[in-house]
Amino acid sequence: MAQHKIIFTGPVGAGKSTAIQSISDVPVMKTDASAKEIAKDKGASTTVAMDYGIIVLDNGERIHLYGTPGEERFNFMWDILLTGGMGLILLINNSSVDPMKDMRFFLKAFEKFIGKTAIAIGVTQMDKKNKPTISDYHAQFASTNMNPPIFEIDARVKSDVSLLVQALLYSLDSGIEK
Amino acid sequence: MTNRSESLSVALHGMDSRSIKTMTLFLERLCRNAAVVALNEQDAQIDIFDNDSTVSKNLLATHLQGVIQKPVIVLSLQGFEYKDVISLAKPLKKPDDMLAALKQIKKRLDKQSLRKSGDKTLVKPLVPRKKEEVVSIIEKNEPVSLPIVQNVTEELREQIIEEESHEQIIEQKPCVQIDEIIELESNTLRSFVYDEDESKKIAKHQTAMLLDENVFNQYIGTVDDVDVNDPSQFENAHYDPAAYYQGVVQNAINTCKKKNQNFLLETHWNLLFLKPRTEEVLFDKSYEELKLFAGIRLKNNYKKKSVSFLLNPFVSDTINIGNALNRFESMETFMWKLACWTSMGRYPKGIDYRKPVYLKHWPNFTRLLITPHALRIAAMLVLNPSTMGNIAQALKIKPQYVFVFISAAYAIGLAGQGARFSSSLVSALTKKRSLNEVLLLETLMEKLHGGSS
Repeated sequence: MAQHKIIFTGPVGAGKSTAIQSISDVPVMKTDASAKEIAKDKGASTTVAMDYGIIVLDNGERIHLYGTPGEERFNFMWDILLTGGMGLILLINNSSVDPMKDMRFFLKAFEKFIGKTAIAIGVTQMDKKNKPTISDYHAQFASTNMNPPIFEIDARVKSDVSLLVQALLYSLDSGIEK
Repeated sequence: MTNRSESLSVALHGMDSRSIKTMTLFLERLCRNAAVVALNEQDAQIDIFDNDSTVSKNLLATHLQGVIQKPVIVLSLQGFEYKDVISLAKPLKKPDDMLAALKQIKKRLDKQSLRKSGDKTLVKPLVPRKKEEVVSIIEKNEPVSLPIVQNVTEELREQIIEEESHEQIIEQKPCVQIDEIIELESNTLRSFVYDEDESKKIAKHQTAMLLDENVFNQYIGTVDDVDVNDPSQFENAHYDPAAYYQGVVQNAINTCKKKNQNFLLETHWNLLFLKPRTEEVLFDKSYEELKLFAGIRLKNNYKKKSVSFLLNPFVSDTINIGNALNRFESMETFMWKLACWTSMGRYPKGIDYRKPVYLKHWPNFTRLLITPHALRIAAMLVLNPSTMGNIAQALKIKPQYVFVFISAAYAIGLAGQGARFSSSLVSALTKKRSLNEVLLLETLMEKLHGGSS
């Protein structure tokens, strides 16, 4: 049976683990380490390997939710995780030093995968720092042929994460009827 | 009963719509038209202030600080003493006090007119007093909300009920005339504290509200005179945002952004605070009231009842918003919602239903009211501009859902039209998928949809 995956990616502290936790039907499996030694000021813990959650559908099928490692030294795992992925959720921490640079980095890193599937971008921590705005993020795509959904989200709020995933799926196919 | 031509004209300040109605009927019925409410404040001979709400206190404070050119009557629970100002105790139990006050003023005005001094002021102007002095007098009264008139006669009560039922009709068959928005250049005094730093600490996060088809009509509303889902009636399925509160708010937002200054938009019924720097607004009434107000067509001449809008600049440290910091919301969220409630399933006048519409980018849906099929419409439109009819056809949905989405997106500048797009029928973005894939996506979407509402 084919594996159906949705990949969550983004820099350290963007809220990938929290977002997966928000929509997973099972307790999320985490492989965290103390942030102390690797990512100071990024929160109590960060994902050094990956997060894993599941959405269980009414017909019994499962959608696997994978969160990529936040640390670049684990990038070798990305290709493995992407295999069979339906689309990419990119989370950006708006309160980081240069969120636009973060976004460009991940867009570049996942360019091929996005080209074959779709992407939806969630901007977190906007209550801490409201600039850049959502419009500023959209402006980054003005010269490209991409026009992805970009939403302000609180990774702890299920409906926020759910809407982002819905937008990803409609980007894949707006003909889907609920 | 006094002949209406002999009646004094009064302007009512700081009263909500119900108080205005009560006072109007009180003057008409119990005071037998000794005074009538003027259609325009400028035409009034007397200013009557209610001094028992915070907003009205502010209005009165501002008024008394300036040169007072007309007689002033203050209605107050705890009495009010101020030179040459007539104070009447609330609630007004009998018309006697009011009649006596009006009689006294009429005498003064008659004397003034006999003098024919050429001085345009009707009474001797009062010397403006210091702000602190005025505020201390006014703040003797704590803000309370009590009826202006007590012991309303049965006749008056019936009249009010009748008027209120009529008001419901007005809301459905809009019939008030919009006045010019009056923009005051001077900074009107609003005495209390708004702390910009404190505001930043308050979470204003409001998760999107997801509407499905079942509650759409009830929540958004519908229009009676046209079937917006009948293609043969598309021609008439539009509305003019400028003729509604939506247009007034849009103008106010444009003004405050242009001037980069905080503004206050006020009517007799509500206040809207606008903060361009943070792109936030605060509406002082409930959303239910906003929804009702949004649906009233303001520009219509068949019933001459006017709504005045005052647009005042204000300085951020002198506005009274009480504990309402958490009620600020983004201008975009507010305009989107206002447009949905104004649209009621119609499209805006600036859009030609025969031409393709484009969507600049996805709306920030997590902070917006999500109308039925809004995500699907957005997904389709960001890729290919299309006519509203085509979108409805391609997605197999009712046109009203497309119209309301376009109304909201147009209101925040996301949707528009350009001549460069073809009007050919586009299809929804659908890749060739196996039946299993389609079923999987649909099942997943159903699950997510259920979980996000």
